[in-house]
Amino acid sequence: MSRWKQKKKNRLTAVFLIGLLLCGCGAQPLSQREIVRAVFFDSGAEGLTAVLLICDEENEEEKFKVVAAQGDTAAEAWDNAEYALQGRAFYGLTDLVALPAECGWKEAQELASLVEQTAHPAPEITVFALGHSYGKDEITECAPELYEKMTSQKEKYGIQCGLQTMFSKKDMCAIPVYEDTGYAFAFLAEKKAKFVCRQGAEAQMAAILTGQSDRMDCTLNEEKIHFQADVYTAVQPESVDSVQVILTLSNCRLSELGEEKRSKEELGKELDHALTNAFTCLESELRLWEEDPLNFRFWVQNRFGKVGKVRANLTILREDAPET
Amino acid sequence: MEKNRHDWMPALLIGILSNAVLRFHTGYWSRIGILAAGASILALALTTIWFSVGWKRWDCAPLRGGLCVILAASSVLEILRLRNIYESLYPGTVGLMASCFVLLLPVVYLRRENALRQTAGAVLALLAIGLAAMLLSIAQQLRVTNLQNISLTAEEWLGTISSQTVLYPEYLLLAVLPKREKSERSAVRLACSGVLFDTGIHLLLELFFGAAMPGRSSPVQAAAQCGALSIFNRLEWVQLVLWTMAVSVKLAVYLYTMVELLGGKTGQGNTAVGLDRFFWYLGGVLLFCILWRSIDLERAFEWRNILIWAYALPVVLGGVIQCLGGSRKRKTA
Repeated sequence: MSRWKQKKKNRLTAVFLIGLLLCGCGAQPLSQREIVRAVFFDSGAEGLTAVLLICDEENEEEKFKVVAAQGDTAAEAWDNAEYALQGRAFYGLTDLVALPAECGWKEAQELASLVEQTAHPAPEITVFALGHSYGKDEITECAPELYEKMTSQKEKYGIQCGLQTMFSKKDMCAIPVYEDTGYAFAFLAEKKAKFVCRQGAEAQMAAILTGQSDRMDCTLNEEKIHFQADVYTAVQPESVDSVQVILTLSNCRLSELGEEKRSKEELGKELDHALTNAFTCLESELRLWEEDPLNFRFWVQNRFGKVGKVRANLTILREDAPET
Repeated sequence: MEKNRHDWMPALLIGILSNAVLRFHTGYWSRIGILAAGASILALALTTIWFSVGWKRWDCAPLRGGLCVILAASSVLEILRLRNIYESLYPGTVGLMASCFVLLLPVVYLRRENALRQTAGAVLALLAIGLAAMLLSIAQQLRVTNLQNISLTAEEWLGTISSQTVLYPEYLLLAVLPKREKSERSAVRLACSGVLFDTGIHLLLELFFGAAMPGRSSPVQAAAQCGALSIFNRLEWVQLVLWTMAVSVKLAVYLYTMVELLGGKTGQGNTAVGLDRFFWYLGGVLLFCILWRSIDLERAFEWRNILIWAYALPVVLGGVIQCLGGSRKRKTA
């Protein structure tokens, strides 16, 4: 009996050891991996450029190294960039993808699908569009700086445009566009021309209404007032063709940038006026879009079952931040 | 002396719930899923109850052999499915053999009924905690406006109900494994938990992916990857560890049932599967994992579902006849 038990133990030990040995097979040493932090696509006269921003942990002075390559298609450019790497690309820590400035809905979808298929394992990736076309040399040079700035913008403005956001509507998507000061916001649709909100308050309003941000930080009234607030949005359907959009601004801070000194009430009025203007411009531009970019029709359809063209009215509620 | 409590519910629940989180693609939109859930629960619960009645009456060697084949094939498919997820997360890192050993070695311990029961309870609790952590980590990216307004066509209803009523082997095991409580109650509990959990996962995924949900492969894993919680900027490894534990429990239940079906247990305390049988199982599963490593797994799971329904249907009909016969006798008396 004891011999039988001993035999069993030996067998188990053998299986365990073989298992341990085999578990280590096929793994790739970490030193041979190139850790990609961001992928930039830029289109210019020379064709499409793919830029891989590699985290260089061994070099203490320069945190990043950049590999860029061109191709007729994005996939080809990316392949060429990967080929130029010294080791195998690892996308486990990739957190940013920048799309070309000129891309439309179709190109954006193709590029996002390519990222999804290629960047395995694809973790939380934020998508930005470039503000303008750079060209291969320029983007190779400024890719680390662009990455730092885009990441800090993401933090500062609370932007949440994950890769999955690109596909969450069938025929349109909305993405933030990188700009040196703040960000713009682009609506791309299959059947409509691209619409970009360039102005700070309007772009941030668009990001909030599409659910991609919950914070506003911009200048108003020809850069005379600085405004900062956490924003909560509620949409209340009123009838089959109208909704009430309630914008609740909490921790609201308003400060004068110019020499003019206005009372708190006056600043508040200026803010309401600027936000209402931004909302009206945005709403009037997007009202006719069948794709329902600001989701107003979604709420009406849920409340009343049917929906037509929806008009939206804005109500602003403000809670000022405690004075320090 | 080991006590035999015959409480298989946690282990069977893990088996059912893990199917929802490990699925390749979603099967329906959540709103229609919520509406169809009642009918699907009823269909699954009745099938399980009638199968149980039919099994008691028609239990025979070919039926036992058939179920063993289903369980053995399911073991291989489960390993390959999890291996696919390993491969997509850490490409080129975890080989087929490594996946097999990671999943099958814990079965050496779990072949004891008591160990299996206790581990299943713990894994179930951990799965709940893991899912709560995942929900918290992706909460900011869930958008109500991602819910789709779809028209309720006959095709949608049919697709939803057929997706919710996938007959997993666990539903059949309820009839085969020794019972502690009434099988009717267990069947309803199992069907309720399975369908409601699956619908809940679909709702979560629709809030996360929106219109893109049906096209996403391994959607729960893809959503888990996007989550960040406090200092942990990637949490999918937590889910992966939990899923590995869940699949190991599932494989242990399959092994235990196969041994029960093929002629009793021979291990310590009379509640464990003998080690000699474990090595046969290990060898067989390894062999078929190698042979089937490149098959289309999604299609293979569809075929498994068809096979299980084809296997269960005659027994279910037998159960229905038995029930009808019994009620007629009572009326006559």
